[in-house]
Amino acid sequence: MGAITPHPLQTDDLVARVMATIIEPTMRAMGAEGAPFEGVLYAGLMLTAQGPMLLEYNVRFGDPECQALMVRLDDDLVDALLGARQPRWLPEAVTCVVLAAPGYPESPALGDPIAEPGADAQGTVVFHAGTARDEVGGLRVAGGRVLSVVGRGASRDEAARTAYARVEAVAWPGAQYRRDVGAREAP
Amino acid sequence: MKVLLVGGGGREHALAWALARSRRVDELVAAPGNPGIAAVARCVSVSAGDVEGLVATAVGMRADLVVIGPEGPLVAGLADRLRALGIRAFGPSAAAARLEGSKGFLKDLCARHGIPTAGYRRFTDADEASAYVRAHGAPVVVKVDGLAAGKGVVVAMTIDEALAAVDEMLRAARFGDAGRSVVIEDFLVGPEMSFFALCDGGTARFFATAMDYKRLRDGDLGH
Repeated sequence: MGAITPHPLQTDDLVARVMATIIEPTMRAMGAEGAPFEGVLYAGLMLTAQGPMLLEYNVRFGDPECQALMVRLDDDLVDALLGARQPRWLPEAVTCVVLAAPGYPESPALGDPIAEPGADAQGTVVFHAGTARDEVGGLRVAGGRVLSVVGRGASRDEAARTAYARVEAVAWPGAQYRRDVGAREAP
Repeated sequence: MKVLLVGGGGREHALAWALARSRRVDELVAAPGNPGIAAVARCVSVSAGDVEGLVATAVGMRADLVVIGPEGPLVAGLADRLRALGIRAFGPSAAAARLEGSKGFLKDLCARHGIPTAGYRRFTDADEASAYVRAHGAPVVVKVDGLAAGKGVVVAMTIDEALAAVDEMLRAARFGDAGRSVVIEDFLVGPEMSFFALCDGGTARFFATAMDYKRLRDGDLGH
């Protein structure tokens, strides 16, 4: 599992078309149905030969896309969530790689000790998910998805290289992760 | 302002990391949080599924804003409860969260309002669903109506796979109430895109796009 942002096929024209044909009609429809939508509307799209089509909606940020988005956001998140202006973004590409427990998703093995991921460094940030402190304050695997490693770079390739260099540093024996996030146009 | 963040996954650690950098945030509390979030917020042991506990936490800390990470508490009406108490919440009402909470609601909405999406039919009866699958042919997509932690969608490349999905969802009731009703829809071809907009009830603003590498292992093998 992983994510990259921005999507390699994002263009101004595509964004305008999706807003006009999918997002804004949904807002009007929900208003007309007496259920106006507030919050983040996350559309899963298929870019078909006939144009963008809606596969599904989520009503919250995606995981792990959110981890990549927050690192690329170059603005105040509260202003972005509540404000009326377009947020600023870093010009860079961002890659997120999820490290999962052995046995995930069927039966993740919990309890393995893991090292402290440490501070944000060299264009990377490590986010916790399924981790917990033991009695002596050590970090242990406590869920299927354990850590998300996010890296920035001037290009998609560089963002992936940056992220994977940090992945190598924080991975514990048995950690499962993809090695190809950001490496191809389409996952 | 005082902010309560609901959730304890990687998504919520990323939100906490960004909220902690906001010059508008003076106090950040997370429920339940995780060891990473604990570095930037005060974590309270209230689970993201405990709507009453979350409301009490927001009231107790006099939260100015509650940012709700996961879909569960949204579908359960947490944002409605907070707004009724005059507390600002980032997240939809339970009625608006049906966009995610009921695939059938979404498909009917798209059909009524001309929003481009795959053709579909809704079923609660397993025999009718199976007959439709045989008549439609494969590939075809079978989805449970309700929330299933991302596991309630089967992209069936053969009729047998689609029939097995119908059996699992409607006959074996593997998804419980979430699978009491299914949507069977046409298979679409093309690259996928995650598209995010921020909405205030009346208007929507484009936020960002991302590409999700859904599978666990390389080359899209595994789950």
